[in-house]
Amino acid sequence: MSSIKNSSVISRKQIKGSGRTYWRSLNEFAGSAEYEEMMKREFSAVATEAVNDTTRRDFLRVMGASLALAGIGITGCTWPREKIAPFANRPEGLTPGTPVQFATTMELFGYGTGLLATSYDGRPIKVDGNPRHPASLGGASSLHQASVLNVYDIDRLKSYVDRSAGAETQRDRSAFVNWVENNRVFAGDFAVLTESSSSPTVQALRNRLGSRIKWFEYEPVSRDNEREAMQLLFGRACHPVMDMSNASVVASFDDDFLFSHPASVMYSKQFAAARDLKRGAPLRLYSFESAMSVTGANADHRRPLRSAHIGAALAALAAEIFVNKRHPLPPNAQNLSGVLQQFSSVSLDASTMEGIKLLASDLISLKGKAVVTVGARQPAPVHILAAMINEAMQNTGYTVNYVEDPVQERYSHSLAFSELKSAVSGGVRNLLIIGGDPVFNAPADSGLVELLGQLDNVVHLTSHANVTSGHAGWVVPRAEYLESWGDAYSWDGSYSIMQPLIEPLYDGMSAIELLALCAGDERRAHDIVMDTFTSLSGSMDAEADWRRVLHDGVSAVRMASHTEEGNFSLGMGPISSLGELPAAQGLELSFYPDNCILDGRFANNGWLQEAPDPVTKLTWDNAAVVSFKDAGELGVKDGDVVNVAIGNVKTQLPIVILPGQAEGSVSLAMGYGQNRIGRIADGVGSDIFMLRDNANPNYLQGGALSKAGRSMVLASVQDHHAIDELGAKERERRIPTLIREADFRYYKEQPDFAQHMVHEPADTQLFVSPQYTGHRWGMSIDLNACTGCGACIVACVAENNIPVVGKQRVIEGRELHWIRVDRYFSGDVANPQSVHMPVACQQCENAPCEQVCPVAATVHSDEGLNDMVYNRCVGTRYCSNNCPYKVRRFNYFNYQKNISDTERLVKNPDVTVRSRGVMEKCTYCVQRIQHAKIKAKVQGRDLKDGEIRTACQQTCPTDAIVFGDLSMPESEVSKRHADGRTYEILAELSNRTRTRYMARVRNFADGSPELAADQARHAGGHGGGHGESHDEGHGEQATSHEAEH
Amino acid sequence: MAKTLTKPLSQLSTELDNTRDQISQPPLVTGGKTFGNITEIVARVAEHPSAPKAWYVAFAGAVMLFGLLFAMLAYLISTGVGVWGVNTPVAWGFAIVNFVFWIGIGHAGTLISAILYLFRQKWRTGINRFAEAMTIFAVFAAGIFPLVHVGRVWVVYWIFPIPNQQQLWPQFRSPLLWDVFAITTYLLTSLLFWYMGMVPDLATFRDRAKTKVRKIVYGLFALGWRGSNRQWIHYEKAYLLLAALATPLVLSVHSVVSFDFATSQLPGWHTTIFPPYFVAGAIFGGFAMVVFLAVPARELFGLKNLITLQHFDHMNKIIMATGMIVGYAYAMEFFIAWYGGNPLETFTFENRATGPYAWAYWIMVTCNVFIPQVFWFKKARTNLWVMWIVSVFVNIGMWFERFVIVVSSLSRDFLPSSWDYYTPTWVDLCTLAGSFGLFFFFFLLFCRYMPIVAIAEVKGVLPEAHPGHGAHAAAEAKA
Repeated sequence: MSSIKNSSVISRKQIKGSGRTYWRSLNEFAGSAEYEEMMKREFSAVATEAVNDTTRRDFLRVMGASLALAGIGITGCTWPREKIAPFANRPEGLTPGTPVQFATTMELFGYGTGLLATSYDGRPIKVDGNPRHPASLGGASSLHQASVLNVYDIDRLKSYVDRSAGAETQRDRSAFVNWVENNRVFAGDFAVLTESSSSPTVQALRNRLGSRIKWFEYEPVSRDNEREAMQLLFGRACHPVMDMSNASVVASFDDDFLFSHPASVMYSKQFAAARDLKRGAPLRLYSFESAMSVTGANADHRRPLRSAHIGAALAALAAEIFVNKRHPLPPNAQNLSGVLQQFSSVSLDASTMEGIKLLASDLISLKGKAVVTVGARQPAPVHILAAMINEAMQNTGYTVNYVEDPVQERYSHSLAFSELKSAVSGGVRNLLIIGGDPVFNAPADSGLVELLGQLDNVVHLTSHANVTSGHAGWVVPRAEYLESWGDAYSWDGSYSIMQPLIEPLYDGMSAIELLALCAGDERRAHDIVMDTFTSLSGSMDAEADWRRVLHDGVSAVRMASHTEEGNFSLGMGPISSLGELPAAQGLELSFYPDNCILDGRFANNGWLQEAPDPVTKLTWDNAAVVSFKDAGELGVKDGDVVNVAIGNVKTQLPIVILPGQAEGSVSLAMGYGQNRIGRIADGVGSDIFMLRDNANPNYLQGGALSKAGRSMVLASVQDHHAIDELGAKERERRIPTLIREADFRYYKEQPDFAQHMVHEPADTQLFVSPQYTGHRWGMSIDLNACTGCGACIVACVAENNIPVVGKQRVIEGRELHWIRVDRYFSGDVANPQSVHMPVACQQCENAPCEQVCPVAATVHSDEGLNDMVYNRCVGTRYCSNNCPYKVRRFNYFNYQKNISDTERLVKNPDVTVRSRGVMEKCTYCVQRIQHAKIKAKVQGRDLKDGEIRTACQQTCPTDAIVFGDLSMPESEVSKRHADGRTYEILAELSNRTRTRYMARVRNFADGSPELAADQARHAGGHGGGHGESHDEGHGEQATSHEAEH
Repeated sequence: MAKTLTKPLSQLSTELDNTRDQISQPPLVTGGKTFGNITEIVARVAEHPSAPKAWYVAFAGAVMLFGLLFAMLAYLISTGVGVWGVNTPVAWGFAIVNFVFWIGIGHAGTLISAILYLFRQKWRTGINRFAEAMTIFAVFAAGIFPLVHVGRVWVVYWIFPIPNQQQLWPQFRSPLLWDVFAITTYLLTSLLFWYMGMVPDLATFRDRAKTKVRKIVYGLFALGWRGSNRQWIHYEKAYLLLAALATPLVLSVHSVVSFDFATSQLPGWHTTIFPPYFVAGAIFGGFAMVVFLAVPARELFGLKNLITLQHFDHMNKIIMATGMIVGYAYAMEFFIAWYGGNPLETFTFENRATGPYAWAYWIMVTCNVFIPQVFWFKKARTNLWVMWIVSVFVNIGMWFERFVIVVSSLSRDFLPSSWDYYTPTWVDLCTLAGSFGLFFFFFLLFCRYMPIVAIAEVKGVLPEAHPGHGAHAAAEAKA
């Protein structure tokens, strides 16, 4: 640290005037009077020009801090606290301009995921999965990827808002601390209403406050039903953790474990591994759900049914197993046989019952290798029954374990408000709200607003001033996870540390700091967390362990895991209701966390607003998702606005008609319709929280839709324009040629089936093909692994400085994503098969774009990359027209113009920021290629396979994307390209793409209609592989193709 | 003289049907006009102190539209190409449609003056001058679009092969670059040809000029033409050579424009029929534009004796013939799409005729194929109102042809996920209107101040120019 103390030179100065910001070295001014003068002048100037923003000075300080701490090794930045000054001499081990990675943890849905955050000269610019962390295994979801943008959100709360004396004033941290201490607000009894968190440090602080504190948790999405069921079975709060590594069958009952789940990344990794064909037959996935989820979209057998009928479907499964097939019950579930007997009368529609029967046979024949999982939205009895089936099928301990919840003592989310009310009537006068926006998103009957009015002091810790903040006496800016110390348990029970990379930009507090303040704990957050870790680990050498855990991002500390049998006899009462189908009166309204912005907490995140929903492909909006049948009956089409009503409460949403949506069920995504958060979130979509009530926060019956008499244009990135019959027919014809798939049985017979589905004429070239002597970069995308989650899209946005264009531009078809995930449905609209295909630049060797550019702005590198030279581009857009994959994106406007200095901080300095009028596209993350090449050269060695990973590849939770050198025969990508499943899309154009796809292999159950359909498609063996092209006047080519073989 | 000067121009000529005489070659100039009359008829248009009222109205309109064009381009350049309706699958929209449309219009002039000259089609003399002028101004209008449609207008000069120290050259495989060469060559040759043909007439204007300004301006441009025998000999030779030079350009320019599409991979663009199809279409549209302009011009400026019904009869026949070539090309595209067996192409054409842009396709077919069929009837070919309305339809149809080719092919290409629908914005529409403003601005100025009919050439087709020729012909007919 001495180098820091002695530093007397500032290395940066901002020169204003030309409208741009330049940073340059000012070493020559060191210590001089001129320099001092300049410092003074510049600071005051900046301070006045950016009133409500992070000033450059703040940032300089913060960045200096981060640099300093990066310099001493592994820790983040709020410890040790020293006087910060930029460097005179370079600290050992730190190269300015070289990104450094830190392990940290992000909490979502109340559970942590280990991440690696990349810091560039002290500012976090990218977040990726931590390969060592069991809940990440190197993958990260779109939410993790986008979380880094939250730090630089210009609408964040930037000061401590004080309304305690009536008028609103902007105060600072010390004013708040003084207020708390002087008024002894938290010295007596007080209540805490918090978002769910698994942090043991938070629990330790709560315990420290003891009986003085009343603890309530609320989030719009909770897993309390599951918790309640497990509490009944095991006597303590725990949750099922699947292990699909050895599973052959997974049956999801309304559980979107691949996407909307605290462990979605971990499960996606497991799922992809279990579908890996090297392992043998891929895992078979059954899905019973109302709205098509990412999980359902990947199911081999999906059956759409109302959310309220999921329990009955599971009951029917139990009846099929235990009554019809006479499978014995587990020992302590014997008293359930009577109830199960009743279940045999459950009768759902024929297709669902058929799925249940197929699943039952699979479960019985694959004992210990299957798992039934139930979504958190389903009531407790459904979870109990699923646990019982898993137990009877001998899956417990093999494919499912039960891990204890980190927070054992708390009220459920649905009880939070009534209990809070009784606490208030019991004399609690002060309330601390940690995070969230409960006034906005609580069920309609929570009565929270009245309650807040009765309190003396309400303090709200929040990232944005939202509706709830409006009811608080003090609003405290919350430090993002990248700005604060903390810790969390993951879904699988492992413990990891949340480590800051940057000082809080707006001097915000973390929950831990605030609770410590309430508890009168004077220690710094870092010390508190470290103490928690020390006590949990029981370590002998706490300091060394702490450092290792910070470095690795994962520790040996774990929550206990159980495999013992639950006490199912207690479940009889609850599950007996499952056999009764709720009367189908009116429509079912089913509420989901949005696939992009979750429960609304990411609503002001432009990357996520613009990321398409993986299933509907909708951006910047939520919608009433209905089935074709319901839409037909109502007489509405996509974009028509409807009134969604339950009783007297109603709201308006546009219609999206989705194949595979359960009939009679309307899906509504939460989190939209905010108007107090910020410029991204406000006015986007419609609020549906008022439709929920405390008893039915997930779905309810008796809803009604009626036309509102107007329609709106939806910002969808696919099917921009309503498609006519002709187009729909052609699309149907093309899908099998683009996304090639077959059942596993057919694949065994014909491992290279994918290469024989389309006639490809001989590859003749007009121009001499280049010879590649060095690297030949290539990519392989395994469609069998891809779940379509869209994490790659956001990762690419973060890595490549892709601007957010906004709703109107998406409507106009001008989104700028370099990688997109095409989603197609095939088959019956009521219950289709769906497929996903990530498409980025295919890096053609014989690139059609290059031949038409008049100024040679897109040219071929000697490594086979199709390079885009932004400087040279004049913007004729001819390349885009000639690109068959339409992966080129054009800057129709200057999207960089109105970006504040704060937002600029998230930009990746390795990637050029494109201005107006130039074309851009996927570069295979050429900056990463160059970094790795330079590193290898400096170290005097060859590049290793897997050393370069593109952003999309790195984040992909299923490892569907592999990048590498095709000139290395042993590289993973070479091996994949040599695989029989690998094919080139539109190969008939002779573009010789470097990105190739691997065909999808399904594993349909014997005797299923899906298998019959697949066999019909491939009937006639090889020749039939040409698919529908035979029927489209293509006979001659097909014949010649036969001759070729 | 004073009397004729005050009389409106339109009342100074008479309509005479010279299309009926089937036996001997009918006169190309009616009304028994002499050399002197012809000079008088053409020159007084420019010398008349006031233009017809309709000219002022039209010119005011043109100026306003031209101003609108400037405003639209200023908005475009200051804001970005995003002000147009273009999007990701349809990256070319109105700008390229307008470009090809205007280039097509710019076709007929040089065709009339060069090819018909080489084929000794004497009726060309009445219309060639302003058809050429039309060409020049249409190429002006066309040339704007490829320049402003690019994302970064300020560096558009990079597409020209300008030597530079970085040794960066354009990419010679790109058809857009070929376009640059084809169009600049065409523009320069057409301009030269037009101007050269005008020199003797400019000299006539100079000689008749009453004011100093006119004397100087016309004198400057007349290049010292004195009409000597020696000058005429050189002139005729040079004119013939230029005609021979311009002839292949007539065919090449639109062929090269069609390469923009034909050499791409896109179904609906990637087709070998495009070069002849585009050339035929351009002649078709160009002649329609000549008719569209000539009908009111001869009326307003008293040129009925010089641009006669016989001229229109010929032009209308060409319109019908080329219209049928275009119709054949439409049919052949469909045939090849089916016969070729490429399902992507089959779909593209099915989609054209029945998909979301079917409306545009059927406007195109109706205007280009069905409506010109009225010219089978001589009554229609010689009725000014009928031919004028048909010419309007043909122009609309030819604009839509380019729209169909550019937009409908792009909107549904290879991967169905990219499909989108293109809708022009108000800026697109105003820019199109503005391009007409530019064209008419120049064209109306030309009509007012330049020799709108080639005086010297028209005189050359009078019987008096060929002493004995008439008698000889009569003797032949008798024999």
